[in-house]
Amino acid sequence: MLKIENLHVQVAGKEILKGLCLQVNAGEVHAIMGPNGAGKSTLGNVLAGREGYEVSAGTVTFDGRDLLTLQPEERAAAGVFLAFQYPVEIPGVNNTYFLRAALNAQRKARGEPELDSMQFLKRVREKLKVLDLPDALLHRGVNEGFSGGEKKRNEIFQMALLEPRLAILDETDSGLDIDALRQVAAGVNAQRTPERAFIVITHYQRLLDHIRPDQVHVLADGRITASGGVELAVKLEAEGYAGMPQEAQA
Amino acid sequence: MSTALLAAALQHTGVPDLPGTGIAEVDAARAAARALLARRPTLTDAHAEAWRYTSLRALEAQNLLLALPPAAHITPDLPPASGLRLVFIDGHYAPHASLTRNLPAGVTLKPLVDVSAAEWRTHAALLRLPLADADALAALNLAFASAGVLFAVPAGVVIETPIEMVYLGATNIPGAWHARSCIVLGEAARATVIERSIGAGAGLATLYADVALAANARLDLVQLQEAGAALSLLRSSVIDLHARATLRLHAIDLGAALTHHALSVRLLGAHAQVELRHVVALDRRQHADLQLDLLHAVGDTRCDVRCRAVAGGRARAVLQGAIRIAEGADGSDAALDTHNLLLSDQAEIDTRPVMEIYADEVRAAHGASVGQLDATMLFYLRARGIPMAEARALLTAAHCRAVLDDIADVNVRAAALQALDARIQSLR
Repeated sequence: MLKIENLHVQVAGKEILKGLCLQVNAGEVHAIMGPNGAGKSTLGNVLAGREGYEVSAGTVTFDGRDLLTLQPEERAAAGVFLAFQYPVEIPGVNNTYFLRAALNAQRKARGEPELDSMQFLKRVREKLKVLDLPDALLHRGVNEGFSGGEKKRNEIFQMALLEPRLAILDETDSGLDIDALRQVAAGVNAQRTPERAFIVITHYQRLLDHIRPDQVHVLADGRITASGGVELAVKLEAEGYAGMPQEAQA
Repeated sequence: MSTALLAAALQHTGVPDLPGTGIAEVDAARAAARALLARRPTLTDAHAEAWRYTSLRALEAQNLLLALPPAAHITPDLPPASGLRLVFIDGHYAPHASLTRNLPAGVTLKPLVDVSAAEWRTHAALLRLPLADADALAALNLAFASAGVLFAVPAGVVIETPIEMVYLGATNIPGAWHARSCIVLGEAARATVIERSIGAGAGLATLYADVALAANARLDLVQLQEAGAALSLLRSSVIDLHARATLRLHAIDLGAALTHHALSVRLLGAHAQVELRHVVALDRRQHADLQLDLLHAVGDTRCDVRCRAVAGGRARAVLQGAIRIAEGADGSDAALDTHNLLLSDQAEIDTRPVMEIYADEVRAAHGASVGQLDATMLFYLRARGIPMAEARALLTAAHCRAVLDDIADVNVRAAALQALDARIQSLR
């Protein structure tokens, strides 16, 4: 589904990703772990198409398409979803309006019929229940006045509603208490299907206790330096990143 | 069109009968205004601070005669009225398009053409030049106003349905029309007024409004301007509030080639308060200039002013927001914030909040910003699949809606937001 080869990315003239390679197949969950400043969030942002991230070398193909040539909204319509590390508050843009505009824009771009209000609200209510989010959230501005936990749950709610092919969760566990973490993990697990893949970016193993990954990768200094099963996350938790190889794996 | 030229042209062509013609006080006031007009070489004093950002030179070069009454068969395509409505087409009252039935006893709501001699005398504001040293523009309005409304509500009367005043342009033939209105709310009276400028239009229109709110009165006033793209709309409003009176004014400027609004609000009695919201959305070469002069004449008065401008193309938006707190007006509470968005490299927004404080114990705050759409918000919307143009429109509308969401009447609010959204969708 996703194939990243030798990806080099600069931000403000500084190279952050230095030859990253990663392959993710449909139905898989890949965890990316690594120390601060390793380039984890850069990876999420560059896959979603954020401005300011300059790809100087390498390729990213998604379902056979060159992802890097697509605009952010085209990537979303193609099925790429980024759950933001810091979801932005947008006062004045009503959450319901935003969600419907997003869903229908994606459907339109894919040549699917747009949902009317009734169909849309039915779908919204089903997904809200899974994340235990109140209906009142729909009437507020996007993320406006949400607590940290609500913002993260709202990201997962949006993911559930938009049903992407590839979801990238950028430190979705940061700032969550244990109950909120469980809810977020339950929301993610409910979305796991043989067709959908996840890249879960995290600092800590505790999220992986709830979302069991197929593969764990260590990202250090802009490259994947180690890959393995869930036991790698356990080892990291026990030994820290200092004990990991510093060079990229072949 | 120098004013001397205008006066000569009018002498040559003759002036159509104006409302109140034949009433001594009206004739005398108009004669004085025309005499003043004839003495002035230009419509405005280009050196005056209020005209620092707006030039009428191009307008003055045109020979703009008064617009003729429209053909009687014009039936304007207006949205359904949510209450009572007076319609003026090219500056002339259109009774067939208006609705003035079932007013509470004692309430006066009539176009200038129906104002009686006694009412002209009672409501002297209808014949007042707004400034002691009146400029030619004010004189032009007084001398030739054919449109406008007298709306007077006696003490204690509450009017639930909105009163709508519609100024409709039916022709793109350059011309000139002038309107002056007088709104008087007696003690504890309440009303909602929506003033709409819509349709086609080219040339010059002037609108003068004199508003007086007695003690404990409350006026919700919405000025929704979607005038024709070639019209220059010059507006002057004087609003006086007495003790414990409340004004909520939402002014929304979306249309016209050029607008200039000299808005004077005077808080004359303790606990009088004004909430002023101004939204302007422009593109191409549109120009909008709001000159606010807000006076706390006495203490324990409150104002809350919030302005939002967005400008694309080569448009220019100007806000000169002066709040003056007079000596001895202790306990005044004044707030002014103006936040503005530039949507193109060639647009310009000039914003100058000014506070002049002569009292000792006051609360006064102001903030101003001019910037661009937030890149993080834009990316967030696009990352969810919303195309760039739609994402920009959503954020631009949100920026403006923030100060329109508190329009009290639900139908008026919906109309204002609908007009705003339509304008923002079309901004280039």
